[in-house]
Amino acid sequence: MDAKNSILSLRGVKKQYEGAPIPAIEDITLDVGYGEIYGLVGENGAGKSTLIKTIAGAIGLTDGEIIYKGGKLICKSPAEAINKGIGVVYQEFNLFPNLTVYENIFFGIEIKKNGFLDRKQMIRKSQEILRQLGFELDVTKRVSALSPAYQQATEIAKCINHNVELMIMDEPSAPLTEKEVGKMFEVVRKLNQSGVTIIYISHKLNEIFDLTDRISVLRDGHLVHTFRTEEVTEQELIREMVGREITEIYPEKDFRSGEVILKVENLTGAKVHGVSFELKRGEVLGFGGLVGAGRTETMRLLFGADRKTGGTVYINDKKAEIDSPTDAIQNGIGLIPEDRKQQGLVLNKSIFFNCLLPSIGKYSRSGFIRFKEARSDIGKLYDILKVKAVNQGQLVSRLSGGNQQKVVLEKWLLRDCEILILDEPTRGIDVGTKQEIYQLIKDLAAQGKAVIVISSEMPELIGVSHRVIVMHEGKITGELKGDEITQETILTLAS
Amino acid sequence: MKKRWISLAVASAMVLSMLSGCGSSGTEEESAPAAEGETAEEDAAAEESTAEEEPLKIAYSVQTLDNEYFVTIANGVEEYAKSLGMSVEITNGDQDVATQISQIENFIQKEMDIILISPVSDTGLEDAVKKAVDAGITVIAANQDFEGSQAFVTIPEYDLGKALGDACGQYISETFGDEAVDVLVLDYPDIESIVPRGDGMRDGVMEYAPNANIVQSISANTVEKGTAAMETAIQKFPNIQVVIGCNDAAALGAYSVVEAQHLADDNENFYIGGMDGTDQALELIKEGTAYKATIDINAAGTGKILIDTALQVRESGPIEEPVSIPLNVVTSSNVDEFLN
Amino acid sequence: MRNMKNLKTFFGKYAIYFVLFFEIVFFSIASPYFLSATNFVNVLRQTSIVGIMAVGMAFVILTGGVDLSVGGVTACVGVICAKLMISGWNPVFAILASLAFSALVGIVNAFFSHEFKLNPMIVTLATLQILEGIAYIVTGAIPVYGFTESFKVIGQGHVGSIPIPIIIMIALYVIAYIILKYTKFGQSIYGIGGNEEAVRLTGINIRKNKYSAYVLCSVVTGIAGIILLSRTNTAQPSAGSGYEMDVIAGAVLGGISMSGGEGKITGVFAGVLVMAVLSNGMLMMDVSEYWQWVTKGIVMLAAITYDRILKKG
Repeated sequence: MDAKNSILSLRGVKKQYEGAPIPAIEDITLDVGYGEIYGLVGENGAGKSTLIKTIAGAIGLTDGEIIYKGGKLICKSPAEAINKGIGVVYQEFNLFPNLTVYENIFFGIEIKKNGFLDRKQMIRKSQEILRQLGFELDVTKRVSALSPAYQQATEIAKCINHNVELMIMDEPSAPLTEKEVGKMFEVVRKLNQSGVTIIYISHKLNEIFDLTDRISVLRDGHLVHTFRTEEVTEQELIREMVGREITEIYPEKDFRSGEVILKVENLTGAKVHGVSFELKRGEVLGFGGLVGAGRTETMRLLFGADRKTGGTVYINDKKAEIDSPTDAIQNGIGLIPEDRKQQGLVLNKSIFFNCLLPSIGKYSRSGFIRFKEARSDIGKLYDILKVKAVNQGQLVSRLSGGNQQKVVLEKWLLRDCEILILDEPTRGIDVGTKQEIYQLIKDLAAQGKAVIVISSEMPELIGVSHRVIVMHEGKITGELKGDEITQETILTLAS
Repeated sequence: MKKRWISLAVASAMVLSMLSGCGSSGTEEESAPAAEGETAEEDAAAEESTAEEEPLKIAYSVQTLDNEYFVTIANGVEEYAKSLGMSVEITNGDQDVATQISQIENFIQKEMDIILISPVSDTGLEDAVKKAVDAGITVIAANQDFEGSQAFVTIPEYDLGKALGDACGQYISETFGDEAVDVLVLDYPDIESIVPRGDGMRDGVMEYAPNANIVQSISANTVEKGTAAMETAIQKFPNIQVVIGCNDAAALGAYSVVEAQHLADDNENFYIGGMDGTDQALELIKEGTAYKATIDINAAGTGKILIDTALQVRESGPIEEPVSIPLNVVTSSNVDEFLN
Repeated sequence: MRNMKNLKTFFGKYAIYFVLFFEIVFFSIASPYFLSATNFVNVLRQTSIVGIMAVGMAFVILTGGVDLSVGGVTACVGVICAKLMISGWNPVFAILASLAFSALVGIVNAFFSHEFKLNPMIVTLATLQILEGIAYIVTGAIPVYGFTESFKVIGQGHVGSIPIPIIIMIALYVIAYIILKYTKFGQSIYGIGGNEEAVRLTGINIRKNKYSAYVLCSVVTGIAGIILLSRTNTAQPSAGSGYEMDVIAGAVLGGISMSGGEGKITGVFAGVLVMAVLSNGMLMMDVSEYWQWVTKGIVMLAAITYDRILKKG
């Protein structure tokens, strides 16, 4: 394969975000042939999303060039990209939620009659495209009222309507149920048969093997290998993605059972239906399940971040009234939220500021903060966690994802919580930092703290947990201990 | 529990907003049920139409009711109209042309006989006014003229400024003779129509005291701005002995500086003049302070003049020439007439 | 290379102070009357009302909100205090009562914007209307005056040669500086403006802090209203009208980010002074009223653009 008969070629593409110490992607060279389904795999934080964004014009390049259909491609915006025939179906949909389905499908290329919008025509055509995809829906509905699967269909229909020749799909199966994934595959194949080239990104390897012709592996921002799909095994692919044998990165488990510190009975709220479990000191309790199974929601209820409609929480055998995060923290619970940037950090503030926040009361005397004390304590943790930053005063927004996560961890360590809940603690983090975080989880448990870990990465869940609770549609479907914890058992319970 | 509390609060907020909605558009609300009963009333009126003439309906759209002067005029209109047995409706134009246009349209709808307008601007009302005149309504302009009015009752801004300027100039030539006295003028060019007032002030001073030296004109229309203007001006021109202001508020501001910095230990040698004839100014004049003059713009009498002019137009047709509101210069010699 | 960058951040960090400095140098050269102690005292005294209001506004904007009702608070506090004094209240109690009223306004603003998640701009625009209305209703659009001599001290008195309004203003800035920098409340305010949800999840009581910020803003504005009343010695219902824009302009010029979470109180002081010196300087140069408007607009645009370019670069 070379640039001549490729629809898309990347030559030495590099992107370094402002203030980031290392490039997100570097020296990426690849060719995608006309009519191919091209797979892109890599761990979280390997640079897949960055790569797509550079192609789609969402972010600029630092170096290198992109050749599209024989010419140099310069897209300044996603709108420009789609007009040139490159459509992207993002993980988080790129639709206008307050517009209708057909308005989204025709956004930017509205049909006009005598200078006015020809809504009838647009509605008819939108319906036609969706029907071809196998979806029957009212196209005059607002996108915000649709389920994720239909939103995705709308996004794909939008690409078709814009006559895209290259469609990039970023983790398209993440928001879908298993049945919907099957349907989406059909759509992708149909599109491909009609001549659309597809780049398919997923961390679910079975999907990649099912669909693609060739697969490229990204690791730490570099393209490490490209395989023909039929010539590679799953094991080989994983080795390339991780860069070493997977068992290495998890510390050995040792669990000396302590007394029960947390008991949750019949916890109920939005998307959570009567969840009960116990947690012991020294234990790492994993929560498994598909995205949307209600794990995050359960933890937010427990933490008082959302309002619970029922259920009781006991801490050290005493009933605890937790109606707000303030209550939860006073009861010794800390939450490291799933969405670091939206919920975990004040991005435009310093490391010091962020670390201080949960402990601000602890370091205050009659309203005044004892900076000296706080600074020295935070400094100690900062050294232990090996945060890579200029100093404590550096803005969190300037740190890499892994270091940002360390800051979130640090602020809760400073608060000295007895129960620590980590929701997707290693999302978007490089392997090295992951390993440090796993070690930290182990150390915390060894100190007699209790840890809850939610993870969608199966190996991680299996690697760190002493016990795994699996949830499905807001309910606990099972509990696994020791050797029972395997990918298969979890998956069976999860669906 | 909490949810219920919130919904209760929302509900009560909605009720409150509805109530306040009624309050603000009270006149419309009142007219709605009236419209229903109108046919019945008309029938009744038709029956006894020969017996008694219906009372005249008069409306006044005021430029703004944020200002004592207009409030006084509006009160005057209301009182005088009621004494003549007319029905009155007064609306606040709120310094917005669009508001005034819709008010005029409402007046037409309500079949007013006379509409008095103190316009926010001299342009923009033409169409609405034309509709009113076409509907047989007498439209009178107050304070500022606009196209289509059938008479214009006003204090010409220039005359107003000139009245104070003249009084000031006369005082200067009597007290200081040919001395080149430094004069500070506090005008208000921020509003287009008030620009001539400042010109009148300056012309009046120069006419009677050609040797006077108008050192600066600063925009000020409130006590605070008057204070700041005087403080700043005195910094640059420490010999200022005369200050005249476009209203009493500005002049009072200057007066507070004169007091605080003891610039007028000999009250004879300092002259402050304002206009509007506010109580505070009148009292200072009476006490014999440096505050020496104000112009009584006859706000209380303006309402009567407006209505009388409107009635005259109804009888003998539009009046071409502006109808002037008589002004009174108030000094220590006649201040008692204006103090109540 | 590195030096250039340092220089750039240095200028970026202190942009507003440079603007102020250049203004002072420029007017000192342009007008012989500008550079004098009494004139500086004048500038400070004239800016004290807006300057004090900007302290309170800074707190609210830092939480990510805004308070447009400050002009109405000024008017209402002045009118209420005046009416109470005229009806025979001791000035001290009249002041306390009117400040209590201003605190109530703050509670109302916070209540609607926090509890119902309404846009604070709309909420405070509504309260502004209400307050302006109340001021006219209470006075019947007629100024209230004739207070005891002792009341004048607040707005017109001196300590040594320094007018009391300036002393109050500087004291408030010092207090605000300490609160924002060294207290739990101050740091929480910054956090809330930066990322409210993240701060909520660290257990900080958002409600308490937001109410405090709005009440603080209204009460500080109330203090400004009392000073204005004492300085002008007459309560006008139109007092303070349009001040909200001057106050916000000063705060934003001083580097307070409208989206919240960023900015220093010292910058606000400089921002307010930039506008005050500009007005005063132009009067000293006999610049006509209309050109003053144009110039003020240009300086504002230039200052915020300069700030943005240097901060980004």
